[in-house]
Amino acid sequence: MTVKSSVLLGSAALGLLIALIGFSALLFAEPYHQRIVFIFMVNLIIVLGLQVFMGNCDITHFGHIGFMGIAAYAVAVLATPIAIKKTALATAPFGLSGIELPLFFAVPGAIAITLIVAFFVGLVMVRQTGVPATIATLAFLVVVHVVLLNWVDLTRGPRAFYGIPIKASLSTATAIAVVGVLIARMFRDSRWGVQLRASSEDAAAAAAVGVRMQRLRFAAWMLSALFLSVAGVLFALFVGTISPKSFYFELTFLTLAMLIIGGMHSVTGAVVGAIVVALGLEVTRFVENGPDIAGFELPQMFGLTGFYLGAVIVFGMAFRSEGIVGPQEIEEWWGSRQQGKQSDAGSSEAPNP
Amino acid sequence: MDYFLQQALNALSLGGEYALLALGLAIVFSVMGLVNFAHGELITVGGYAMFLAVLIFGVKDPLLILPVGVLAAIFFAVLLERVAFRPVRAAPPTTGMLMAFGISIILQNSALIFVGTRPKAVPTAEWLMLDVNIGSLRMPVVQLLEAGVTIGAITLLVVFMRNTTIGIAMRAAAKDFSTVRLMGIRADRVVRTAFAISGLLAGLAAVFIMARRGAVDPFMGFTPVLKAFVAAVVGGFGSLPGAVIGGFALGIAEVTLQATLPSSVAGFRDAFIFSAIAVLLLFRPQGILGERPDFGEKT
Amino acid sequence: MLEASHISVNYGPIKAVRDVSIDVGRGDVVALLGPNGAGKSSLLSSLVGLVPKNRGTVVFDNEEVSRASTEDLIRRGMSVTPEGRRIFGDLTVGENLRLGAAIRSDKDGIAEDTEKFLDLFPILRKRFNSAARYLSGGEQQMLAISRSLMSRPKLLMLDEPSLGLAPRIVDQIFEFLVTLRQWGLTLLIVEQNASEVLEIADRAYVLSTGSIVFSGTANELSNSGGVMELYLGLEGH
Repeated sequence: MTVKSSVLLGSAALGLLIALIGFSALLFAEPYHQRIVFIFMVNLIIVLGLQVFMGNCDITHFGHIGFMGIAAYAVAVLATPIAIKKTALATAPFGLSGIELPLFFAVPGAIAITLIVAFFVGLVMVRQTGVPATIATLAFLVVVHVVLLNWVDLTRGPRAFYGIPIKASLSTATAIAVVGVLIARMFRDSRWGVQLRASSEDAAAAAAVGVRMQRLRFAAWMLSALFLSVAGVLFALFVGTISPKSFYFELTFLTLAMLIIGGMHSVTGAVVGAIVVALGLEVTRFVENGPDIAGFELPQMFGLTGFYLGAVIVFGMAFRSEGIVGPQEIEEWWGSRQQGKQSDAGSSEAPNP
Repeated sequence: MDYFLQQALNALSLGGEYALLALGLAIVFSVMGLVNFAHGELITVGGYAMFLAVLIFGVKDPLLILPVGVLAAIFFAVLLERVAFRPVRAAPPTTGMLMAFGISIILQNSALIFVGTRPKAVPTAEWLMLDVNIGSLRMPVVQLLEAGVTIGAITLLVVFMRNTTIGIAMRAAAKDFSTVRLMGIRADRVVRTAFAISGLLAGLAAVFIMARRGAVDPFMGFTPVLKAFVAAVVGGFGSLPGAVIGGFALGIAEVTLQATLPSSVAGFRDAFIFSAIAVLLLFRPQGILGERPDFGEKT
Repeated sequence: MLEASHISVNYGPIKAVRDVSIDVGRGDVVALLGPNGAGKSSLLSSLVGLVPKNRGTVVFDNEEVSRASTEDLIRRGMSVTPEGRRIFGDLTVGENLRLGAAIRSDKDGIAEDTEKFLDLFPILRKRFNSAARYLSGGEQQMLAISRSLMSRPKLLMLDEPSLGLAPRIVDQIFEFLVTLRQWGLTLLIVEQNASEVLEIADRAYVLSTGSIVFSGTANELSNSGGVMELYLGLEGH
């Protein structure tokens, strides 16, 4: 498979930016801030996975966090030490309370389980268009949440699942995020990606030239689930303690807002959106807790972060529905500006209607 | 037999609630192509309006509180259309849907910030909480009313859509809005009417939801409307009869499972139902009454 | 009745209509001709406010209406029978006619007009309560024209009324247009099919790639072989 040089160039620029964030945090930041940057990297991987599906298929996806939850719980169940399981997960089905896999097996195992689920959900998904497809993704998220909450023997239900080995590091997460950018870009600009985007714009025309939309959409769905499963595994192996509410609407809203604001039709948009929204989020978190500013004690304002995310989405949709970046990738900005000048000059000539 | 009748009433009243909400979603969608994710907040607004009516104006009579909830939902639906959805009317459907989604998050969190996280109690009329005894049968008044009001509202809606010019125009606009404008019918009026009706239906649902819960909280609209969305998809998204059928079908399915599932797996009820629906949609992607998705452009 | 001056319509970089002026007098029947893609439909849509004009003014019934909305223009007495008929297929024939009269409130007058069209087209009476989509193409066109007349317009604009119909049906429709002319209605007829419309029109404009290439009486046009052949694919007299 050959990769276009423009794709490499664009990915390199974005990768460099991400690496810069990651390594400056590694070198200079305190553990508390490193933790924030780690979570940012996980969110970035989620947003990239979301972009792979939403950006190429033009279907709003509310279910992505469901995959993350499945992967996080799968790796937790597989990799948590038996000693901990004896107290925390004594009644696990399938003899899972007596199993402790090394990460070398647990991580691929968790990812495989997630992809199997994604496979079956995908069979339904690709037959749906537009709104019903979106509702289906939302219903999927609810199903995952209901199962995580109620399968108490396997997941400890609403109580926290603790004791997951803490093995992920900021450098791993950064490296995966950089690779994720490259993969998302390669998919977007591959023949499949181009066909998929064309078919999302005009299904009839694409079908007429032999594009098999359902198959392509399925590919995007599975690749997206892969991103999300990696994010879930990383998250579980970093925080060590998870609960069903970690994988529900809060994270869904946050990552959707990131993608929408950056611009869902480009990987550059995903990266920019993740950075911009994350920065704003830290500021609102700070205000939400009622800090002292210049001697004034602000009141606690629970709900401010949620308000911020909603406002970001509403203003984005009202004033810039294509997102900050729009549909173009980073290396296309310069090129398009050049072209723009040319076509301005050319437009005085009569075009053929 | 009594047990069966009681469960049937349960199914009818729950299905009625879903049908009212799904109808509101379908009307707005069919007329202007908007997927109104903020529909659940109409319920919440209705609930808070009832709460504030008690708190600020000291309305004591629970019978007066009910219309407050309904009117607030109607007013708010029309307001949302004016300030939030009119600017994106010409935009692609995704833009409108995400706009609604953002509005929904803002409203939920505004309630968190300004009213607080805890549920607020709203008094319910005592007679609503009574049971009617028919022979050996005990029927809760609230459920009888809910079933009755739903059927009444749906009947009135059918009459409205068939016999008034604006109703006929709304049916026409579902297929071809620009030709409706060529009849000299104002687009704004058609859309506003659609929102007002969706607000009315949501307000009615809100009154019954409040009667059952007795309290309002910022997220109370979410679950019922999620179910309503699912019901609308099952019935065929955008089809009004489909929304009604889907709503009642979902209500019946939930009550049946609730009554038959062993308690150890009762918590999985929604997971079972949604999975069953997924299988249904595998064989009939367009839903019960929907038109086949043609994977092509609307003409 | 209608004076449109210097109208331009752009879709992005595409200039569909360029500096076009047309004039339709009271009681006139005016034909707007030209090949496919000449900008006829765009011009019509801009006159009735469905697509925005980039430039130009429109005066209708002695009032400047350049910026009026579609709904306003219909209420002022314009009416359009759109290309492809665009009847409401899910609605009954009766409901279609009722929407045509949506801007009126005189119940008796509406009932009278409905009767008038049902008498003219007995098939519409027969199918009054069934969905309009089951009508044949010609019947749908009859319904579409009747529907646009239900608002009692001063000016009726028809967009390709003969499109996709069998010659016999086309004759019937043009016969009806002659009747409308006798009623004293002002007509603006957009057509690709020039020969038929020129028999009933007083004047004609020919549009090509967005600009007017001919304007004059229908007779002048019929006798100018060059224009007829070049733009309309017909032999001149």
